[in-house]
Amino acid sequence: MNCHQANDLIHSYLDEDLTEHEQSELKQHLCQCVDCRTHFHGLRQVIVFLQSASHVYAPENFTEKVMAQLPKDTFVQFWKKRMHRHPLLVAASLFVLLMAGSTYSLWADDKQFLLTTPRPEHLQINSDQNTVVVPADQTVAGDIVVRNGDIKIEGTVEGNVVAIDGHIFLASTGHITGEKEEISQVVEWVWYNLKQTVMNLTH
Amino acid sequence: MVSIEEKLIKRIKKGDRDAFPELVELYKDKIYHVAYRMLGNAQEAEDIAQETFIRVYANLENYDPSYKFSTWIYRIATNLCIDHLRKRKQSVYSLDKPVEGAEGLDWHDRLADPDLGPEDRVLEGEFHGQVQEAIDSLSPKYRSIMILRYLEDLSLSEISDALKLPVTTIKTRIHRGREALKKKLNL
Repeated sequence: MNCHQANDLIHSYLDEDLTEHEQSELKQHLCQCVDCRTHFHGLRQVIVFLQSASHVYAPENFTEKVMAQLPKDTFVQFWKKRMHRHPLLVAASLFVLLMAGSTYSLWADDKQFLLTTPRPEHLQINSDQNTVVVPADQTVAGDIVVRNGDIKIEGTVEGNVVAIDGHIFLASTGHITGEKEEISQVVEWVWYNLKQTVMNLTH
Repeated sequence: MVSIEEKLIKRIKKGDRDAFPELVELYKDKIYHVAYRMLGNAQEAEDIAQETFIRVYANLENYDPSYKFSTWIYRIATNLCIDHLRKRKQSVYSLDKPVEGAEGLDWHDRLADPDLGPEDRVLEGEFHGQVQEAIDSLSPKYRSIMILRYLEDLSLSEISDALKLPVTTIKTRIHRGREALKKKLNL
């Protein structure tokens, strides 16, 4: 073995990478070669020296300073984290929001004056002022629904009267055999529609 | 067996605001130590160490849990240090050329660095800062490996993962690093 080879083995030895066979070969060479022995000793000293390095600690308040520099939670990140923690809750609340949103837009779209009645010819309809009148001598059989307008009952309605975003004026001569309802809240409108749907389903 | 780091990272991702400071506490000395040994002064070390944790926080989504967390954070710290050293030494002459006959040293090392003071309060009791002086004499790519191997006790495969270099390259650089330091220290 020449000294160059020995040097390679020395480094492998310091890496704890030598087989037993290679170790004994190296030992043999080192016994006979002063230069390599000195070199080996010197390299070992380098390691000892490095490992004698003093322990270094981060300065005080290091963690605080790091935290102070972190990007603040943006709205998007806030929701992302919320999503991770309560996926069902967030999904449910989003669903409700969307439904409410579409409900509102449906409701808000209908700013038109609308009248639902089985016998419009019995009624006085003033579309300029968005009013409907059930004249005193008239009897209307069936439900009347007025939307975005008012209804004045001077006659008789054999059914329900519903005003959505409007008022029902019942005159002294007026009479409603069914129910009289004024709806001006979105929720009530939704509830009203639900009721209607259920009633229609069960009839 | 789930590591502490994995548990902390899970908590961080869920939005637990106390989890990230715990992670910083766990690694702050190690990272500051590496930065200090790479850069040679306390102020820059603190800046780079802080930057390391900020990067970790910003990139948690990209962290690949099949690697050890320590590997990842050491990589970030080492790269930041090397970039910083490159910026620091920008000059008209190319100082990256290796010095003939002195493996592991380049012209940066041969010229005195005015930024580095001979003593630093951080190194009280360490042969008057001789270890730091010796480490400073190595070029960054050898310096980082010697620091990770002998000051942070990483294994060769851990260093290989951290620096994304093959183990054979790591071994070669350690050998050359040891030779260079032996010369520098007259051992």
